Amino acid sequence: MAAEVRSEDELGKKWDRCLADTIVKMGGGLAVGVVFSVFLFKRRPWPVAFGTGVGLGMGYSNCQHDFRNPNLLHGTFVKKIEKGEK
Amino acid sequence: MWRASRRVPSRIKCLGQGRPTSRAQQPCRNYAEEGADKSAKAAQARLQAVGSLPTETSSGGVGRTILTATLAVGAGVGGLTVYAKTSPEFRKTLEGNIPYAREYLGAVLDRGPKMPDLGLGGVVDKAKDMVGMGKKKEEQLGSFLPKLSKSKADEEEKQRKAAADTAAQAVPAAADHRPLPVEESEVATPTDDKPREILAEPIAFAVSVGTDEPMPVAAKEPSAAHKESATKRPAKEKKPVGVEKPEETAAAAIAASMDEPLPPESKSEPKAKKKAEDKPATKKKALKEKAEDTAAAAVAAGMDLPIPAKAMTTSGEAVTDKHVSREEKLVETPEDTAAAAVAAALDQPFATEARETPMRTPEEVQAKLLEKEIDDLADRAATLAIIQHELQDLKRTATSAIHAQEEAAHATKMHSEQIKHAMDEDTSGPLGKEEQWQAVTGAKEAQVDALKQAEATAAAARENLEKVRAVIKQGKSSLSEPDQEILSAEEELGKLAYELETAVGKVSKAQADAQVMQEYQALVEQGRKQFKKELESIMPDVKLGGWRGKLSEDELNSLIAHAHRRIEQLQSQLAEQQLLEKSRMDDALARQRTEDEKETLALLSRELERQKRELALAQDLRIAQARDQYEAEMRTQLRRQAGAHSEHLQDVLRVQEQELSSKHQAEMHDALMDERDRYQVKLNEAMARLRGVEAAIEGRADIEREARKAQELLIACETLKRLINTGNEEAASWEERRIPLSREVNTVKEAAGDSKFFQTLLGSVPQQAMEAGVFPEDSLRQRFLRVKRVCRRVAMIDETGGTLFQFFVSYLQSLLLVDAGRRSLPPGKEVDPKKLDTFTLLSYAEHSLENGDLEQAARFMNQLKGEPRKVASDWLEEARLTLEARQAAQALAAAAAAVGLGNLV
Repeated sequence: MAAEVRSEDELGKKWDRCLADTIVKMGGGLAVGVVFSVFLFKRRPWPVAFGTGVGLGMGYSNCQHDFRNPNLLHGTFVKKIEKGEK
Repeated sequence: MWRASRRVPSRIKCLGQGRPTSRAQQPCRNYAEEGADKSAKAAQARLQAVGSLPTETSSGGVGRTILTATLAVGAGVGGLTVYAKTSPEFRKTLEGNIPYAREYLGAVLDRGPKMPDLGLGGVVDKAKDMVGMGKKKEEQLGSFLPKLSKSKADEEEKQRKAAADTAAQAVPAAADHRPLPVEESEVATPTDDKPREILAEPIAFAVSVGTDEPMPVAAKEPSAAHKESATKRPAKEKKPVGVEKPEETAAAAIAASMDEPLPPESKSEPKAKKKAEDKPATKKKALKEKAEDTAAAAVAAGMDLPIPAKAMTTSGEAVTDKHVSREEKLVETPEDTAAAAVAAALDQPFATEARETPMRTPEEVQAKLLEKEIDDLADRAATLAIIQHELQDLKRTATSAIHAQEEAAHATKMHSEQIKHAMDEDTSGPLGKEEQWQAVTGAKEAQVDALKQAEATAAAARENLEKVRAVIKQGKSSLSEPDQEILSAEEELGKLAYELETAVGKVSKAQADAQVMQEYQALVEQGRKQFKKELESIMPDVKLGGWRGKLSEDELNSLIAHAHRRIEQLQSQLAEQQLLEKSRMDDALARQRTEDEKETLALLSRELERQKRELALAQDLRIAQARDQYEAEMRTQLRRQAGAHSEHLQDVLRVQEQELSSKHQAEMHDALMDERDRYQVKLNEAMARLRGVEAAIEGRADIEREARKAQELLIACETLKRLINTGNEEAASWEERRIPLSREVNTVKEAAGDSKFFQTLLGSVPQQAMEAGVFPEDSLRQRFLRVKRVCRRVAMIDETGGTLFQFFVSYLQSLLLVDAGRRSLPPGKEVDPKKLDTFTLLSYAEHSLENGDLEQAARFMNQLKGEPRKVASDWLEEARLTLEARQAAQALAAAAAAVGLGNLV
């Protein structure tokens, strides 16, 4: 919590997160699809689309889940800091 | 070329190689050929380019070579010059090896060509020199003297140096100088002549400037004087000799100057005496007149005093009083060598003191003393000179007279001898009778001449004697104390007189003898004559001289009888004579005795005179010595007294100084104390007043302090309020307008002091506001816009969240619902909280915000529900903080104002 998030900006941030997530998932799906397409399906286009779709779906799902339960906190991993540095 | 070797790829698309394909193809390009062609063309072109140069040489080639050569040379020279400018060693090597390099480099590198010298600069320098020279000249002419004295001073320097050499020879000459014999003095004078001749010219010039005197005379004397001055200074210890010397040389000089011979002497003594007396006087006057200028020169030489040229003449044209007085002194006393003698005789400082201008009285007095002494010495010197001269004259004449006298005596004696010899009947001498008588007459003549001569010389000598005596007498009378010289001169005089008298006496004695002889001769003659007469009477024809033939008996008998008769007669006469002789002898003896007595008396008187004179001389000498001694002693005593006096003065002055200083100190101390007291009184007054003022001030100080504190508090509160209202004005955007209030709150805390009220109020300021600060209203307003937008977009979502679809629908709704702007709350109308929905609330809030009512806006926003509430929660929080802080600040300000107002009264 380096910089405090204003409440009005919270939603915006949520949306950003959502979008970013979705894009990432879509990209991942795309990548998997391409791989599948290239190596397994003889360069057919449908795995790519499929993968992209999977990605999009996943993203959408995540977004929905996030918006539905707004009180759920998003945790972040904190690196373990040695004694001397602290 | 290498392309030709490469394998053509299989997929070439040109005709001619590879298998033909369906695509349109173009003829293959033969790269090799093309390349070769191209290169050949290029080579040809290059060759042409290269070959073109020789073909163009014929046209304008010479000019071009010349141009290039010039350029190359110029570049070389320029390069060398530039390098020489930077590197001095290189420049040196260039200058050393290349001719005219130095000039060229100098002209080029050393500030360019010089202006031609127009010769005007020298004028300025010359002018400066002249001015400087003029100044120097003025400094040199420290006195109002003309260049005369300066040149003379230079000449004196020269002479001193030149004469210093002759001093050695001059001093021994003077050492063996004794005034008695004339020969030695004559020996001494020639040595003087030499330096005189050497120095004659400059001195003559220097002196003749002011005088009309003949130069050689003037030349000789001052030269002698200068020589004296020269000898004086180095030979200071030979004082008596030195003192003698000036007189001697002065005498010589005077002798030289006195060209006129002695006038023919008169026989009479008194006349001679008078003349002798007059002579020295006149001679002295003439000497004075002749020696005046030289005296002045000598004075200048000896003393370096200023002498106006005019004062050198006897006409007496005075320039100033000082010079008049000195001039008179000059006129009175010839000072040709006196100054030099003085400088040597006295201590040197005297002379140096006298050299300074006698403006200050002690020096003046000393100078006057010095002058007097100089005058005395001059007098003495002059008289001595005269005396010496006269004495020498006298010596000459006296010796000549003595000689003459002796000659006369001798002649007389000779004459007597001759007579005796002639009288003698014995003719056995070498001469016959006739010759003898002739010799007698000769001797008589000689005697007469000699006597005449002797008489003349004696008279002259006597005259001279008288003269000298007169001069000595005058000298003795004029001088204050008799000098040794004078006394010795007197001695000489006496001696000479004595000798003269003795010689004269001798002559007279000889004459007396001659007289006796003559009487004897007369008697004999007479007797002979008588005899002859008788003989004649008896024998008249017989002549005595000639016995011619024989005489007769009668004659013989008569002769014999006569002779016998004569004999008897003579015998009787003789007896008579013998008797008479005795008595006569007695008479003669008696006479002789008386004469002898007279003689002895005269001799005795003479001797007594001599003795008296000697005693007188000795006494005078002793007196002179004693006087000198006393003078010296007195001088030392006087000096001692002067020293003691000065010491005493010093002591007295010191004592006085101390006294005065102590008195002054006391007075000053008193004055200081008075001043201090007065000052103290004033100070006390002032202090008292000050204290009064302080008390008054302190009386008001509390009030003032309170007022100030209140003011401070007020200011602090106002500051706080303002800060809360405006925030950080330098912030770029509304987000950064927060400023922590802690500082201002602390200030207020300090200003408030112990007041509990204020502390409580200050405590009510929220902590977060202190640490993080509060947003000013403007920021909240700006922020509200965004909040409103977001709230409108999620108006349909409640606290539980919503699906994406719901979010989308809500967003759609917000788009479709037109924002009518701010809706104002109808005044006085109550609001039903249940009827308020997000949009209304938002519009109400916006409206109140626009009107500056943050509180109302906060109230409205507080009514939000669901997701919009969550969205606006932060804003609300901030608004609440701001409101709290503002409230606190306002309360504080009001309280402070109240306090201030209260204190004002």
